[in-house]
Amino acid sequence: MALRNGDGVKIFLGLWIAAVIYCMFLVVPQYVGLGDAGRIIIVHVPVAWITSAAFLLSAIYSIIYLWKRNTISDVAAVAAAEVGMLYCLFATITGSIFAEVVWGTFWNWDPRETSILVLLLIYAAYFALRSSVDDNERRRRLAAVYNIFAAVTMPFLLFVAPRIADSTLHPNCAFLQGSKCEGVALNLGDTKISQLGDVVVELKSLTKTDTLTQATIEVRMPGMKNVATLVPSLDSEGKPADRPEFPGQQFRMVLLEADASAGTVRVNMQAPGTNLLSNPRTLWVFLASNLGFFGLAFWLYHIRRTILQVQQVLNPGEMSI
Amino acid sequence: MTILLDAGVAIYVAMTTALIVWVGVFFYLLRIDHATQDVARQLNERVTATDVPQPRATIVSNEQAKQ
Repeated sequence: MALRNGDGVKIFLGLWIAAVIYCMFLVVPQYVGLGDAGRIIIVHVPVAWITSAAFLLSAIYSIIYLWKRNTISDVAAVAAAEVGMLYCLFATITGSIFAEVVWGTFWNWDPRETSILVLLLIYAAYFALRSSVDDNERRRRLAAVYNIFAAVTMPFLLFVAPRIADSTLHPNCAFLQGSKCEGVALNLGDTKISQLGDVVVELKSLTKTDTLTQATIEVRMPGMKNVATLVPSLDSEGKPADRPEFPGQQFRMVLLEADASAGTVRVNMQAPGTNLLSNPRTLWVFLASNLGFFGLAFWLYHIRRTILQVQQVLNPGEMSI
Repeated sequence: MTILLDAGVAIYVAMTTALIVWVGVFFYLLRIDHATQDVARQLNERVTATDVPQPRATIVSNEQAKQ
């Protein structure tokens, strides 16, 4: 294959992503509790972020189309939505691989998994809509309006819904501090059963000595199997002491607060991977990965847009999608 | 085969697999990119060629017309 003008940038991009893959495996350190599985974050998170950027770009072109009614904006909107869909699929697959290694299952209907599936379905419906209307002008107009509504749901599904959910195993605190990391409050003798991630938790007893405050918490794993009793504790200074591991999972239960007189505690699931980017090597590889996958998205978008434009010129009234 | 899953080896196997997949995807994209550029260029040339106005009448002098 003979090289051409402009191939230099593309080859540089290819080498850049190859270097990111190399660094992801051999330069980035292992994460405590996650082992090598945590390395997938170097790819998974940038891809998910660029998904939202691509869908946003698609919506912007749809607005321009509705405003100016120029076909080129419609073509650009389709190309951007396709790149977004591809990246969204890649983010889902890498997330599932992570879930299999860390949570023990490829899919467990975690709020994060469910929301990204809904997003995939919403954009699948966008392409279905485009292929179901014969009249070109009407198809473009309907698709543009739908695309704008789809983009409005996207930030909610990707960023808000998983963070307001009480029950998620997704390590939200890894990058954005303050995102539903405060755990759950439990009361002694409370009939309400709380949930931490996919795990049902119930406070059974609370004992306080001079040196230790211990909470006995019954833990039922998803599907009500693997019932276990964990005893996290606080030391005399109120700092977490014992952090027992959830049965079959690489997550630990941490006691954040305890009031023995009131019989209340606040516990949290300590998801490994918190503050990943505090390690400089991880941070730089992560930033390089963002740049590389952004460049790849732009390239894919450019290729697809050119193909659609050629189609437009050859068959002005027709478009394959 | 089990040697590939050993703790010390598995990470190199995973990295090599990821790199091979990426190299394959990259060259596939480069081929599509070249093919797309070719088609777009040929189309532009064809459009430009058909855009050249063809003479519909020839202006001649009166003497030439009489002959």
